[in-house]
Amino acid sequence: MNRVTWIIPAALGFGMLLITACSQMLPASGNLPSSHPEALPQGRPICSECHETTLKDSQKPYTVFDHTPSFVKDHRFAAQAEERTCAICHKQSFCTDCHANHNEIKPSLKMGDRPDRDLVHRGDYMTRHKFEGKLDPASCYRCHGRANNEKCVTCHK
Amino acid sequence: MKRLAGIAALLALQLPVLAVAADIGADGTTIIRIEERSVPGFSKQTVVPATQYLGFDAEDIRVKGLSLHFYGWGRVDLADDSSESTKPRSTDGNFSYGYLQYRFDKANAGLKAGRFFVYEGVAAEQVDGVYARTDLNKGFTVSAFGGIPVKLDRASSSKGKYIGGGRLGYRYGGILDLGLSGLLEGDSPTPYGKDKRQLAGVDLWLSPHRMVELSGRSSYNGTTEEVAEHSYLLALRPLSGLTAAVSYTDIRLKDYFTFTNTPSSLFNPNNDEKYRSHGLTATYRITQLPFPAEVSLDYKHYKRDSKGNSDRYGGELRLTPVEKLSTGLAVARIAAANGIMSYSEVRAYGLYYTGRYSVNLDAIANIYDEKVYGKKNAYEVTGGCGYQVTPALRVSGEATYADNPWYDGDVRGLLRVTYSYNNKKGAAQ
Repeated sequence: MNRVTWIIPAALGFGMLLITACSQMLPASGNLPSSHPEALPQGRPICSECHETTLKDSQKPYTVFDHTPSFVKDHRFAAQAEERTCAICHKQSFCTDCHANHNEIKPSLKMGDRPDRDLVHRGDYMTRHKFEGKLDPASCYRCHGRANNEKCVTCHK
Repeated sequence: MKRLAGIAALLALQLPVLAVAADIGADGTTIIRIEERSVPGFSKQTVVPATQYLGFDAEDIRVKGLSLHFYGWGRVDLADDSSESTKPRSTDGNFSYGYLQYRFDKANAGLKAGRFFVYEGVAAEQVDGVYARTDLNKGFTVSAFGGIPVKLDRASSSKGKYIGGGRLGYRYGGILDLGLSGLLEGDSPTPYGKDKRQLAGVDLWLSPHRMVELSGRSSYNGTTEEVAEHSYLLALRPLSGLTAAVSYTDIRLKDYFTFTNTPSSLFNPNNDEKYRSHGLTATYRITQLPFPAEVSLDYKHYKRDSKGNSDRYGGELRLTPVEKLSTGLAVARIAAANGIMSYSEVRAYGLYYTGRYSVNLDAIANIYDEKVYGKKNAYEVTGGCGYQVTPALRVSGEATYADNPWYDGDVRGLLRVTYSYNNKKGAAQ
């Protein structure tokens, strides 16, 4: 057994225990709820229509989480720091519909009964991907650079 | 087939949990597609793949706060091989996630163990391992994860040997959320061999006034010792219902693409050029008379050293003329520096829900400035309907007709059965 195979799990285990211990030594503070207490209508929710103040324990105004077109397009900025807030309304499977290590059916096909949703790669994307890849290769890389690229490498050798 | 059997076995092992969990949720989607593929130079194919997505959640298992989550999919071909990958196969599947989670009753503290996705600062990874996070005193938060990166089917060397990372955050009174994050992956593949993948990043959310919000991040590639990315978004909300967002991105491609696990012909880390973009999105929502509507306009300018300057102009109108009817019309124009990449796009859709029935229609057309395989136009029309058999069971389907540079008169069908059970009150997740 080389050093890496036992040092890394041991360091990780110690780190997890340390974080857990820290959390339990703190003065009691509230938790975000594990789920939204009321059913939500279909479509993109505008949180600030019902909630007027700030999201407790996140300290951010509800307008930050309003699902406007720019929020949907750039939701990665919220996700990088607010995974626990996203988890109030979204299971991880909501994310993996689009962001996965291996997906076969494109989101606009899997959820073809929801044309109101902003889903990528609609229509003749096979033609358009050559253009978009040249204009903005970084946007392709986010999803296909290190994951979900089984189909890509059939042509890009 | 081994993977499908593994998923089935894992699910079977979870069945005893049903007996001791307070809240149970199960979601399933069965999709059967029917397509005829006819490409010049290749034999005609009839493909009928049946794909099953399956999710399972059990909360408060014996102990309050302890939960189990599972999700995966499997596909079986009922006719010709449908797989479009390097290894065609009549069955396929993916175990997306399966983990135990424990939520503590304070400080938003939690632990995860198993297979899961982690999104923390610069990290957006699928990991077999452990994760922990907690709020600390004085506005600080900390999270850490580690384990083995989940490999792709294509090759056992498609990801590194081990991975670890975390984020230290600081929040101040609804004004500031600042994060420092890092990631280390050992023996990570690159198009030119293996190397240690090291990423560090700073992420920012700043709102000095309720009408102004700046968010974004910068990342540093510790392996190439260069800044890889700056991406920022300034959102302004001057009036109720009006949002304007200005975006700015600056990426050094060789440092951003360093650890791609695809051949360099796709994401070329040797490409020592910069990519920059800036854009504006403005949205206005009308919630009152005459009926709810949303108007969006967007503009984006792209600049690449090797490709020149390009622009995208877009607009979208969403209307709800009567209750339970959603409609939308979107147009876009991409004016690329290289004319061969320029095109226009028009899309219209409608979705009507009434009681148990739903009807949906979606049409999208592209007009390319230059011919692609002898064609300048592409369009796709999809019509479908659905029926809610029981509160938990829904059947829906779509038929699609398309004509594009790749296919003449492409006809496709899809049948979908969705099942969703949850004994927990509140919104479906």
